[in-house]
Amino acid sequence: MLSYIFRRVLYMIPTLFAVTLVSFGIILIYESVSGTYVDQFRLNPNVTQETRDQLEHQLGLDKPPYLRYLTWVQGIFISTDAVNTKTGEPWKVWSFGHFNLPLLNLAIPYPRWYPYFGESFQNRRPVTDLFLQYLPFTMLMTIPIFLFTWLVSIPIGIYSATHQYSLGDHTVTFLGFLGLSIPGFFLALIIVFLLAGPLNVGSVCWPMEGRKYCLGVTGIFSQAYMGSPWPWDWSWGKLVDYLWHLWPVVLVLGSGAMATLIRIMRGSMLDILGSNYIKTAKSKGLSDRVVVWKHAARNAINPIVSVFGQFLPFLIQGALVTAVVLNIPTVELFYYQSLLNVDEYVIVTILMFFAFVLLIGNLLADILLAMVDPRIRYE
Amino acid sequence: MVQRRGPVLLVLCVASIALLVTGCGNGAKTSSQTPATNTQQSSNQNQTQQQNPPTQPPAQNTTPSTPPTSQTTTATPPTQQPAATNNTQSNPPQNTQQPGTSPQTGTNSTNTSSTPSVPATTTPPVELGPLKVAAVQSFPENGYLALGGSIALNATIENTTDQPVSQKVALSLNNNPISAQDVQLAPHEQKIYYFEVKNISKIGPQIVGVLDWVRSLEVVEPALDPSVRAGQVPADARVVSQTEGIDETGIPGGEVITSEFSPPKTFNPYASQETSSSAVFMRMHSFLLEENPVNFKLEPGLARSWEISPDGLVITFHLREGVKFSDGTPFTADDVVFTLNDVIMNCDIPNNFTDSYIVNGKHVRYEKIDDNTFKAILPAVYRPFFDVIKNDPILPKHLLQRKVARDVAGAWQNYSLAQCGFSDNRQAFRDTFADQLRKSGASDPTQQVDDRFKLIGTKFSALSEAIKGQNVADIKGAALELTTALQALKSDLPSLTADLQAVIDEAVSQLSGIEALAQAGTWGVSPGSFSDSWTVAANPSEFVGLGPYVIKRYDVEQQVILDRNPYYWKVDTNGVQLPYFERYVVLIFKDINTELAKFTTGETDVYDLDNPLRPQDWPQIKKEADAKGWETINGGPVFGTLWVALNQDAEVRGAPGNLSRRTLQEVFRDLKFREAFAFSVDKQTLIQNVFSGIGFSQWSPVSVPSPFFDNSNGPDYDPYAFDPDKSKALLDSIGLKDTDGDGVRNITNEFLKNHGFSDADIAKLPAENDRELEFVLATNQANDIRDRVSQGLVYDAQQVGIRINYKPSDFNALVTDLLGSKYDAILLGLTGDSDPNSAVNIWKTRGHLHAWRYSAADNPQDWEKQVDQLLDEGVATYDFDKAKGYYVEFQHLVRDNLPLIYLMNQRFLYASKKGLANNKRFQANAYFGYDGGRGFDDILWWRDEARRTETLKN
Repeated sequence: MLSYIFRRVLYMIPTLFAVTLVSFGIILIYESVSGTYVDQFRLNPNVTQETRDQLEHQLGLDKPPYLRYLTWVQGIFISTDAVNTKTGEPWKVWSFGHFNLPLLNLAIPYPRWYPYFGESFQNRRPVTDLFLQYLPFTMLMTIPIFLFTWLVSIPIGIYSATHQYSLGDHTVTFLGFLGLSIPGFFLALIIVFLLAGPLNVGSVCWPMEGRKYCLGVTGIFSQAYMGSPWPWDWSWGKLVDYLWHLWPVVLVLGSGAMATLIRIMRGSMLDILGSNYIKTAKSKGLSDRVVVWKHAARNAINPIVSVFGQFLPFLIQGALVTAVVLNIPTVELFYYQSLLNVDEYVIVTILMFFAFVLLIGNLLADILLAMVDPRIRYE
Repeated sequence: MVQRRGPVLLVLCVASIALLVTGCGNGAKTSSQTPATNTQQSSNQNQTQQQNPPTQPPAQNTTPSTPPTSQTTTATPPTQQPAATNNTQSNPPQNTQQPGTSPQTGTNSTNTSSTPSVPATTTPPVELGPLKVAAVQSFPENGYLALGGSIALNATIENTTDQPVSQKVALSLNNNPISAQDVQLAPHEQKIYYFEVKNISKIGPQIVGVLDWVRSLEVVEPALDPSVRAGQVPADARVVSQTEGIDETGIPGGEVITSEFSPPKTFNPYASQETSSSAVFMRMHSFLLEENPVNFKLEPGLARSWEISPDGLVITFHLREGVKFSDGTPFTADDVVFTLNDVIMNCDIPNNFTDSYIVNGKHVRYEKIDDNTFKAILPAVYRPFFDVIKNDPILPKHLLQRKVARDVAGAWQNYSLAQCGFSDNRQAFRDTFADQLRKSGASDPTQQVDDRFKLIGTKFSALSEAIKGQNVADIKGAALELTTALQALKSDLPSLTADLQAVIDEAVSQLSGIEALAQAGTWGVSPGSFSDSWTVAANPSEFVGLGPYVIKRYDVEQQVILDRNPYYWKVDTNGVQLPYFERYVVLIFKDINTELAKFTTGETDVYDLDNPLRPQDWPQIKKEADAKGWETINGGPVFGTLWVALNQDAEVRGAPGNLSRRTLQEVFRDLKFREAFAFSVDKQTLIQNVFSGIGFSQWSPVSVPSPFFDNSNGPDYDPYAFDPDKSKALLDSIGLKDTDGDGVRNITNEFLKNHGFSDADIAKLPAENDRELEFVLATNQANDIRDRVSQGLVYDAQQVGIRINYKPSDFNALVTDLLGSKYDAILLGLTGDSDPNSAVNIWKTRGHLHAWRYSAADNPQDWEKQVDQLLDEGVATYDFDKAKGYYVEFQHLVRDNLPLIYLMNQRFLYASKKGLANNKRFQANAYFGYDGGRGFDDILWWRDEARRTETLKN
């Protein structure tokens, strides 16, 4: 098993590089049609050709594409901590002995414990720095959604299967399909409209932590509680505020995912419930509870565990429009803004991250599968 | 033991909140209950001191208190204090307890005895001007215990003077502000003040003991009392009166929450190529001159006055005296000269401002005369100088000079000086070179010049790569090659002027020094350093400015918090220092519906419908205004224009030799066709449908609010008002007729013959009935307004027999098409400025944005030559009326020749909560397009006392 995991992880490395290569290629195609980051300033009467040339030089866009790519790749591997003690300058350089090829001249702005993935053109900051600013907000959204959807859908799926064609089953199925068919951003708009308009939640106020607190709409925190996204910095008031802002997100993004999970669980459960060994168990006189939860559910869970692999990337990526409507600074939003500005290194880095999450998700699903089903063995 | 110089005492209880709940002796208190906690503990101070000397590890005894190191106002003695009554009036609510009124609860022994397992920590006393912070005590001793939560500390602060003191005392670590309290003490009074320390984990893992937290104590700013604020005002303060927008003088206090649509990309004004960032950070800056928000005329800003030499080439500015940056550093002419010379006119720092200071290919230079005077030396009379200098934020030299390559000794400095010296004079070199080649009869002078300068450019790049690589041998080689190339250029060009020869000699001498510096390992800072500073991820303590507010915090994609600048240099007519608000919060949105929802729920105080344009919200806002308690403001026309460009170079530049492109080109080149197209547009209906009825039609290349706009025909003047009959008649008259009866006009043989097509050409084209009068109209996708206007144009044109195929496309692709003359028609807008000279790149025939007819550069029409001349004349006089005369003529030429079909724009629309005073003057702003993003917010204040005195959040 361990060697299997090890092999899988090793396979990831070439896969990820293939992903970066392809995505970089696509960016180049786009740039050849529409121009690079610097080209978007062509219509600004204040930005002259000289300014753009100088900017291109500083950003390295005057180098040929293959050098840009190789420089980026090189940065991932070489995040040296060697400090230039003579000048105390924050940037550092790595060069390969005397072979001072241009592509090996790489200024690394800060010593970091994580790899250097190049610098964002728009923000003039290392991509990793920026990415890590957005990641916690994504987590604040996705972890609760994940817990909610999985913890709720599996029991509902089982209930649906054991009470097939009952009123409850139909109701759940109906609601599930409703959630699946309403686009997330649309549901988000409706919720925002209802809260801000007819329900007028802004007028609901109470004193909290020494100041007047009023309910708000959108965002993940209201203005008074913005700031550190890390839960260990929070006060109780911030938790209340977070929970208030969380439920629309969970509703919007969770409803679609839940429908899928419920249907899978229901189908697989029905399959198992019809099999002979369940009949045997029942005929042995085992109680319904034991039959359903111990004999059926454990076997029916396999398909849903396989879905887990795709669920992880869905959570990280699949919510752009919703994030825009609900005004939450997620990784996906950062990716989208970078796409609009052709911010090469950000795009490649985030695509690589998405691919990484997908691979990890699949690996986890496979491992989980082996854990829940002893018949599955990896050699 | 701790040295004590007074009856002091202190100490403490650590109340912790959030995840870490430990108790004080008298029961755990949450942070919101601090005043009560203070009160209890502030009693019996003397006893505590005598009986319970704080236990303290010996190592800490020897630690001297670090002198305050941040750039705040430590050194500033509190100025003239007003009567104590003033102080008490303005006491913030959390400090209302008076000496002697505290209940005596005798908790000192309880404090220590009830928490015996945790040693207390104290710091040595710290002198803060008139204040003595006797000690701060806190535990647990090790910071990591508290990591992940918040802790609290109490400090005893004594006023050692005979005067009342009202100041803010802050805790900080490594210049990270941690917590602050307003301290208000009568003479010789002492009190315990409570500091809540939040977000411990933010300070980082380097913390080993709580002691570190409290070592550096400093006075960061005076407290809220208005007369104390006046004490920080320079003697030469600018008095803002009614003519500049103050309808009612205000009472300071409170905060306002506004919103912006796009997140800032940087807080560095000279690194931003787009204007969306500027709305936020420009509040942090002030300007030498300012534009009156009412009549858009220039007024004194940081420069109190200026005079122009008789020949118009030297302008001497006198700066206000006593102005200080937000960190208390005095502002002098050095800062101005640094900003203008070392930042704006620095070729290392690509910025949008440089070009405005290049007159006839030569740079404007600046010289300091004394601390309060500097002069600008212009190569020629240049009226727009005043207009452009009013847009340039003045930066603090003392903080940013070390980021500028040419100001820090090292290899980069030499490189930068050599490179900029050369590239600043590139045009002169090129011209000399080309002249000489032409004289000697060379075949392709332009190509030769290009090749030569490209070669030198690659050698500069090679040297910069070598310096980046810090490889001495490479640097030596690259510098040598470059020197050779420069000297070869000099020897090849005997006709170079002495000035230009000196430029090369200077570059060569700079290069010769590089190797030695490299050997010594003195690198300096790289040319990109300046642009990489003041990014959105920078530590807010780095931000210092002269503007009304200073950036205090940026929560990514969520909000920017700006606090008032305690040294701001403007006062109202009562002498109260501006701005009135303590804090200015900008929330960031990505979706206009969300932004409106936030305003509806009351989470933001103002809502502007101008960026991006969203007039569709106006009816709803008007309707709900009374019920919700909003005021709506219609601030008149906005800057900026919206127009359709018809490609008059479709063949000659876009597709040489293509006959069908030539037919289109000839159609577009016919003035009567352009007039017919202009008459076909039903602007009023479009204004009703797209701009909710509150737009205005445009006809001039100059923005309507600009003082140069020709308004002699009244505000509703429209030379091309909707007239479909006239449009049809014009089309008929030039032979664009519907020959096949399909409702779309055809390009007839008659039209072609009149436009220089030979019979042979016509024979090659499709038959007359197949030559429909149709073209593609492109605009950038995802722009709702332009999308709807385009669809209106399609419909209107159809009514007169022109078929428009509408094609929204990606902005970058659109620009590529536009610049390459590979389009039919494009609908675009330009942001305007109050000075028409800002559009010189568009209107001059050689301008790089003269996109409807680039061929005019080689082959101008008569009126285009006239425009070139008028634009030159408009620049070369300091007389406003004279200049306006030229620009009015320019507007008439453009109106009569219609190179662009002007459409319409919206008015400046705004809504705010009632109670926000002086909001009527919110209006369109020339440079930033909207909402007076440049410190105009400094006169807003809350009439509502609750809003004014509300505890500041965060």
